[in-house]
Amino acid sequence: MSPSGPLYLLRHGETIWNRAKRLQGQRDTPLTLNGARQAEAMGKALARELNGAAPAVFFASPLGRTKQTAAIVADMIQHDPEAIIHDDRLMEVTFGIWDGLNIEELRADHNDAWQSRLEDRWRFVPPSGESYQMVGKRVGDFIDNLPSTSPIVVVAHGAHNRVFRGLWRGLEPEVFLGLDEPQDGFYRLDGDGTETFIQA
Amino acid sequence: MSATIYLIRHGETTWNRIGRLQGQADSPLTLKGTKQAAAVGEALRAELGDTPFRFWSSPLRRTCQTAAIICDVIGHDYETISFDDRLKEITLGDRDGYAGWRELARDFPEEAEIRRKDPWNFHHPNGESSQMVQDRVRPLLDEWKAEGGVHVVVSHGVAIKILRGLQLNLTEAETFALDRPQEAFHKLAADRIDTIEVTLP
Repeated sequence: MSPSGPLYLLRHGETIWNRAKRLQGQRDTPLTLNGARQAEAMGKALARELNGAAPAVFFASPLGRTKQTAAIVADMIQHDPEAIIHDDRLMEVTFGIWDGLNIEELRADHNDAWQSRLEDRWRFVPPSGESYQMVGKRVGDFIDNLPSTSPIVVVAHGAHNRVFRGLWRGLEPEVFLGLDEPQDGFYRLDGDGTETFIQA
Repeated sequence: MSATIYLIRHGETTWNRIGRLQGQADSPLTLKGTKQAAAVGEALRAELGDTPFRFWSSPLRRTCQTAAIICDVIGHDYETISFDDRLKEITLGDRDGYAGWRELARDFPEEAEIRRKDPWNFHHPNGESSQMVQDRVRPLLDEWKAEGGVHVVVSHGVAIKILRGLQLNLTEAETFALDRPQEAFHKLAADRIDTIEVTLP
């Protein structure tokens, strides 16, 4: 399903709620000072990686934290931020009414549902939210319809990017749901279905 | 009571850079805007010392982004900010996000003519006039003065000009003529305003 690549897959920098260990989902908080510096460092590493080549297409999730990160990255690689394409299929998984809660609040108020989620993370649908399987559908659709040009830059989210990398690499959900969500570097995905971590 | 009020505009956004009109629409901070916010935070930290203060912000995204960076630099908890709708930027209503003033005048010449005759009371369709913004920020300024103490406020170009105009009893024309710096902020105390310049690293 993967196009030729390379595709650079970045996560947004650290946010206020990342630091407070709250589920963000599709709610939003701004980058911390550290998060802004991570975005700048990722942009610098991406510029090095691109080595003067301009991205053929630059996509970002339309949520605030990814727009903020993408604007900083765009400045670092001298890409016009107005040319960034914001695509809803790149949004983070929403946990519905759980968006904004931390793990203690979840366990205190929604423990039964939380336990059922842990038993089947791929198919479990949080109240008013999305399952990873539902996210997989929109991410798969995005990947299937990528332009054949390269390089491509994508700025999106932690859980979203795990699904993205899993589908790209052809992994099983129980494997890719356990992948990491770094903010101090990003992944280069190549057309042969492999990935390489680029440290910022 | 005597109050000290620091008025801080958000850092440069991607639309500021290309002259696009934001109003209550939104675009993110640029790399430079991020560095401006951090530099303002450094200068503010030196200003504040150990004095207790309250932190206010417009809830629009560019001011939240600016406030989050300032909070980290001065060691303040972002979650305790009072977000107040009265600190939002003037809205151009249907024209929020328009390419620029020149394009607006070109595409809506009749509106531009009405605006020219009475800029203070002019509002775009579904938008606000400067008078309407003054009416919403005045009670907030009065509250800060009644409460006393130190208030750090992150807001917008026009909203801050109107607050400064109120503080100094400026005329409408004088208020319009004020600047909207992003590498400086203003300190209101008693009946005066000082400007604190910052330098980017």
